[in-house]
Amino acid sequence: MSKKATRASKPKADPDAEGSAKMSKASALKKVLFMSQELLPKDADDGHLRLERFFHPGHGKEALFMTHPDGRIMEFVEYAEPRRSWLVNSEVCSNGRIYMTTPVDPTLLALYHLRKHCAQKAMSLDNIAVEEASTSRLLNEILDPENLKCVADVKSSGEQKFYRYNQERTLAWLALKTRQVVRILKEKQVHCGHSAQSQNFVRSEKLAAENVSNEMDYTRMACDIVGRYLDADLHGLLINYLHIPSEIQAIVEEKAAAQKRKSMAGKDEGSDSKKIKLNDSDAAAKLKSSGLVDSDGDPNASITSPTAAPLKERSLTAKEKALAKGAKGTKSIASFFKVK
Amino acid sequence: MSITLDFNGKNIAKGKELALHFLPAKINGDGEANVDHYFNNYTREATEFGSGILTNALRGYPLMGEKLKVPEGYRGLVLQETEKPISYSSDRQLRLTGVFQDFTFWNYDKVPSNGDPYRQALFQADVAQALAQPITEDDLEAEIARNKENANDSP
Amino acid sequence: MFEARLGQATILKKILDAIKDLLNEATFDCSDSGIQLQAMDNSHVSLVSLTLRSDGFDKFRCDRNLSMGMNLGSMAKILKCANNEDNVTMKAQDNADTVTIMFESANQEKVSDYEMKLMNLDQEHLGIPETDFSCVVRMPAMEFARICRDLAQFSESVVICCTKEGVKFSASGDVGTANIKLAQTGSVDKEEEAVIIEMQEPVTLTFACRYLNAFTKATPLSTQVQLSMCADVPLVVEYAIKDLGHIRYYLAPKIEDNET
Repeated sequence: MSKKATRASKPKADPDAEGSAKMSKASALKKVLFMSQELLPKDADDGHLRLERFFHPGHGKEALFMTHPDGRIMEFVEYAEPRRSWLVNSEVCSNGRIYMTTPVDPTLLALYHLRKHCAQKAMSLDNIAVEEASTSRLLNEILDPENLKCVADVKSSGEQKFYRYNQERTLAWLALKTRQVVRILKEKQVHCGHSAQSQNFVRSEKLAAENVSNEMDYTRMACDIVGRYLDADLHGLLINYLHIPSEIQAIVEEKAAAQKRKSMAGKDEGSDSKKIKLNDSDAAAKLKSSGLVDSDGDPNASITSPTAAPLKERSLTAKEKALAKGAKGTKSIASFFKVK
Repeated sequence: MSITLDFNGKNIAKGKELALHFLPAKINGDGEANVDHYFNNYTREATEFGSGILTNALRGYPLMGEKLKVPEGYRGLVLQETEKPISYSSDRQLRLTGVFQDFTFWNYDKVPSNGDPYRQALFQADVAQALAQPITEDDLEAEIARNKENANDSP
Repeated sequence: MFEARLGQATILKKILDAIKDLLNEATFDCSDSGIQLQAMDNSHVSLVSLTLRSDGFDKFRCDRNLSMGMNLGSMAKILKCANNEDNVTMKAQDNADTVTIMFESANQEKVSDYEMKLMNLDQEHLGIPETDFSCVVRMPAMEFARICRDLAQFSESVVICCTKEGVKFSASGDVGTANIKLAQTGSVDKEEEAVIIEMQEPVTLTFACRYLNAFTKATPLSTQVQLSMCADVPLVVEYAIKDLGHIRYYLAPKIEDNET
């Protein structure tokens, strides 16, 4: 639990870190949300936004979506970085997430249900999954049935319309979607060389400059992004359709490249830190006895973080070994006291 | 179950403007703190690291920050649930606490840059936008035809 | 800005001696209420909790909360350079990567200062629940140290058995067995020599002797030690630091009381 810190590890702050804070458990957690302006209802007449759960084929379970009373839908994603929190005016907010609404095509969500129910026979939307309230709501109230033409054959019989899943159209449609994503990836100069899979969103200017990613790298990455909304098997079909090579060679190269970069990154971090590894003899050498030195008076006090603990474990002294031996048979103290 | 968001454009236009700091630390606690006295007081500009770069410290750990705007097309909102839900399936309500247009993004001992996970996460919104763009039927028919042709070319 | 000044370096020396055998490094959390330290030993079976109240210092200033990770070995080395009667002052900037420790002789003729690098220690703070202990024993700290030292010769484990009559420390090993019984002091003439037992219900617990011995390094800080015990709960060994605070050691009981 008291693992040695690396630069990446952030300080742990106490609840009382901000002075004489009055802690009120009563106030429920605040949430910081980036709300898409276009989804926002203009006034009270437009009704209220809602967060609803719909089955997310990519997650394999229900996920939250934000719906406008007029049936528009956006995905409700959360951005969670370990060790983040907010200060909101004069309040500490331990929930360091950012919630965000991002556009989503409900056809992608409907696709799962079409494949499940309408692969063999054509069905009308109000007959699909009548027992699942959320599915039924998605298909009948949110989805624009017009868009289903892209993934299904439509048969009309009087007022009623019946849909039957069409794999050929679906794959063509998904391929076009993938190309749209490729376009944005190129526009934003996302780096997606051989490590596209492991380093999904590395977007540094330097890397982009030396970027020699070919078309296929972009397609592979875009296909992965589209695949986040698809069942695994449909994702597989799309990969085939787009002729994305899945040679083991590519993966091996990617891994090697990723590892190389990781170790490079490690080096970089090391080199830009001004830390000196502290070991006992060093520390002793640094001691200086310089008489009256006013330590507040240093205006050029450099902004560096405290010295990182030396990562390598030093060998234990005999005393420490004996103590460690004595610990045998005793429960960990952490099993009694919870981490705050 | 569903969660209702109890606000609309009008409420937001009149919403209280909030000052937010995005801190690189886990804080186990919620509630009032003397942020002005213990934190804002100590924010300094550090132009030697670039324009707009700020410095501060939390518990003695150095912070480097920057004022960031809420991404284009978005409004920054702070929501709060007034009462805890009784059960997973019960209806809930999120109320608007306030709004913000920008916030201060803090890194621990690192100048904020495009390499920050936060900036890279925002990029997902652009991707989602592209993915959600509808596809016209004409394009689709063309793609199907093209694919058939390709299949015929390479049997 | 953080600044804390103590009239006598000897107290700080004793505090360091009391924790440096168990901990290689630790974070001193400074706030306007004082200095706190909480850390587990390497084996994670014991916890050290040190509290120094701000009002116990000759001068104490802490504008903003500050966490200073220190190598305790280095800190002890610096403190060795102080005379017992020296004034000692610790100073650090708000975002400093070093702490300055300054010694001033009583007559102000000699002033030395040492700057020590701080470390980032990623230590989790543990929440310690309030416990109603079955038994609380107060006894002379020297006596406790003596008992732990003597029993260590017989076994790795010490069984502490507390009843209304008194408290019994026992150990058994290859050599044989040892039992030390302390009865509650009848009349309290000298408070620091008294053995006082407050008991709700009797309790018998087994602890690692080496750890108890490590705790007794705090003996110079206090004349009395307080042992708080409850079944299946860590033992608390507390030494008060007069007018300044206290140091508490928590030790998890041994799971099996027979020898390994």
